[in-house]
Amino acid sequence: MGRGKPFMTGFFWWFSLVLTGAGPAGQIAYVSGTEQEDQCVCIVDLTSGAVSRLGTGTRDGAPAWSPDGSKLAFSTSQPEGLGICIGYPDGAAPRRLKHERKWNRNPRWSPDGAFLVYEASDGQGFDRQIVVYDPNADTESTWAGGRTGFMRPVWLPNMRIFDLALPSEGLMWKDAQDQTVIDYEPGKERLLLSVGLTGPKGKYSTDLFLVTPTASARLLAQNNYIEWAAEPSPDGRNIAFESNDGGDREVFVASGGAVADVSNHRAADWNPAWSPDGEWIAFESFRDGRRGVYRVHAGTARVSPVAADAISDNSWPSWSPDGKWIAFVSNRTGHPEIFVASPTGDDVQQITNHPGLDLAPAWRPEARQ
Amino acid sequence: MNTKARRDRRFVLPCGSLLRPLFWIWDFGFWILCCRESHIPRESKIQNPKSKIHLERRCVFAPLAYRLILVPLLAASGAVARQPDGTLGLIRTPNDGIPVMVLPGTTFETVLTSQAALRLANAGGQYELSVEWNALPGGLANGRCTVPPETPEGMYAIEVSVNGQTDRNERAVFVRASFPESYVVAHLTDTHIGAERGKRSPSDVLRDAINVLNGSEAAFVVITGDLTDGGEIAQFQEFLRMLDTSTLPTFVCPGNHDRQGLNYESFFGSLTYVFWFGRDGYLCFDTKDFTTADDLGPQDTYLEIFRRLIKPARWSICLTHRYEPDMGMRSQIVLFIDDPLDHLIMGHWHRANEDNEKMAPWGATTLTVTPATVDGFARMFDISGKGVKPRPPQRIVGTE
Repeated sequence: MGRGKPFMTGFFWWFSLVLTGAGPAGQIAYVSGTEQEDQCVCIVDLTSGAVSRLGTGTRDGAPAWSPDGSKLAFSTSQPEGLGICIGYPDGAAPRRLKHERKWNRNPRWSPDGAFLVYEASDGQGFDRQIVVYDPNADTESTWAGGRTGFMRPVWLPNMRIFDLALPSEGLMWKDAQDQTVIDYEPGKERLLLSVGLTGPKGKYSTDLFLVTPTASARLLAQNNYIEWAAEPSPDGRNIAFESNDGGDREVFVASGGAVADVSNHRAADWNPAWSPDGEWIAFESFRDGRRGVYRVHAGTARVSPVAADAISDNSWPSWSPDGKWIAFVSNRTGHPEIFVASPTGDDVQQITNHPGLDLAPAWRPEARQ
Repeated sequence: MNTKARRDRRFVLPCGSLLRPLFWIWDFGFWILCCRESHIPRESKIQNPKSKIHLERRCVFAPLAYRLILVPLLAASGAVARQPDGTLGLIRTPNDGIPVMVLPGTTFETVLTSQAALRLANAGGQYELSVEWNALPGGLANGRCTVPPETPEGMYAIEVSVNGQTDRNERAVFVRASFPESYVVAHLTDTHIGAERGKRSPSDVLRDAINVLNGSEAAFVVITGDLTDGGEIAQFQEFLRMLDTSTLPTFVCPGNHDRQGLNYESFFGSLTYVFWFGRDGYLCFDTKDFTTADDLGPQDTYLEIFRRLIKPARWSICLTHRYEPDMGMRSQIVLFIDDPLDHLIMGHWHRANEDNEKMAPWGATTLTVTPATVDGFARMFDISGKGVKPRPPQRIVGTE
């Protein structure tokens, strides 16, 4: 891979695109490198095959597109720890945020693209806090009243999550001590969903929390299971997450006050990702021996493979904006590369081809393509 | 670069003996060129750009000349054991950092860059292996090798000959008569080859530590990372030179100091692997950069697959350099939450863990940290039906 310069990833995949006449379009951001230290956020254009380097090339993390596709956020090295960097695929220089904490990771844009949330810590165990960055004011603010132990925060697209279990008194959400923690005020609300650490050291557990600037409250009943990787559906009515409830790791969907195991298999099922229409959830599973990408219909729990075989590993599904393709990582060529497949798994195309690691694909939203 | 860096003993006789004078000549040139530059601590090199540039220039020259002059000679002679610079060749695993322990008549797994006839070899003879081949992604070949039933107990190199060339990994296969229910494991960690600290060089300390363990009751040795101080090729070469004085199987994993490009992988192959001793399963994984070793990289795949593989084990034991609760959650979910390992053995701290640090914070996995071998320490573990019992760490080698 030519460092610092746009380059072609080979023509085999767009040759097949020409042959078939219909293929994936748009752009995919991903992380590329020879090893962790030189990982760099890159963007591949699926029409031309051109690849451009957008990141800093110093331990760049998984990229997250803004909703309008105009910018990317990702973690990268800072003098001590990791900082968040905003990259602009249309040419502007990347912007490194200034942080109060050393380790800043897992950025996600708010639904209107106005704010960025990430977890921040000083690297002392689970001292992670939720920090929201305002790009216009160039300021950081700590959410959840400064409470620590929060990981992987994501924005909720709207307030429909309250349909899950209506608050007992109008539009207020109370915690276990019957304290009002979320005062629902239509039109002004911003709400986060986050995994939160619970229990004493030695008996740690995690739960899903709703988080506001000043407070947090459990989304579901307290339990001793370990929830992780929570993702709200595009319409905000459902939440997919993984949990070891039942003895092994499964993908669950919380919807309308009920929680259902939709992946149900004795092998581990990980990392749910909603399709744009909210009908399907792509996820990873080890049910066929190796790591594979599957999809499940959120309503019927019908599971079908997208990319799974006996000798290679496939992971990190990312839906195209039109829902007709799923990008994923596969090591079927010997090292991790980016591939795309139709959701039925019938049409698989290799997108990147370089002798290193290509990871964490994220399809660019349609608005600015 | 260090004058003792090359590994002439790895070249297969008779060519090795014929070429040895060339190595002496090479050693002398190396010594003149490189002096003690490679022992500059990593931190001081970073703080002193001049010394770093100086070192890099020499580091580039020496391997280049090495390849231009010696490699063609060796290739022409038909003798290649690992690569001339000590990195792995045709045979990726097993090797002297990831060996196998096996009974006669049973099988073990090997990974090669292509299929070839394999044999075990030591001073007592050669034993052809019957191999069932499977393709791996990237053109690699996975061979399930059956050890001939008549193979005597002992330490073997694994060899392959292709197109007149021989590739040989020393100390790769240990044929045992049995796997006892109760046994002892020796733990070394943080050997920091190449560091300038104390009055004795880390190489001397490691050599003496291995010598002590050679006379111990240990069944095998685990060395949990920071093998080198800067991850430089010469430091890995020196580490291997010391490692190969061991008469016991030696299992290594990477540490944060071993990071420099892909040098660790070049010398040992896998960052994450699993092995068995009788009914006990051992999972070695990489935390050389604990902040990014998870969630993004492919290691999660292997952790899940290997964890399931050793699930039937009597004891499941994890070997790694460093564990911090701040590392990625996925590997913690796999190793300590969904199906917790019984025991975690690690280093990095350069001290033993206190009483309040004897458990992984998720509650089910016991944790033992051994002080650094570069400071003279080692620790023994008694493993039996009663559990995995760490003995107190012992200073087995003087560092003054």
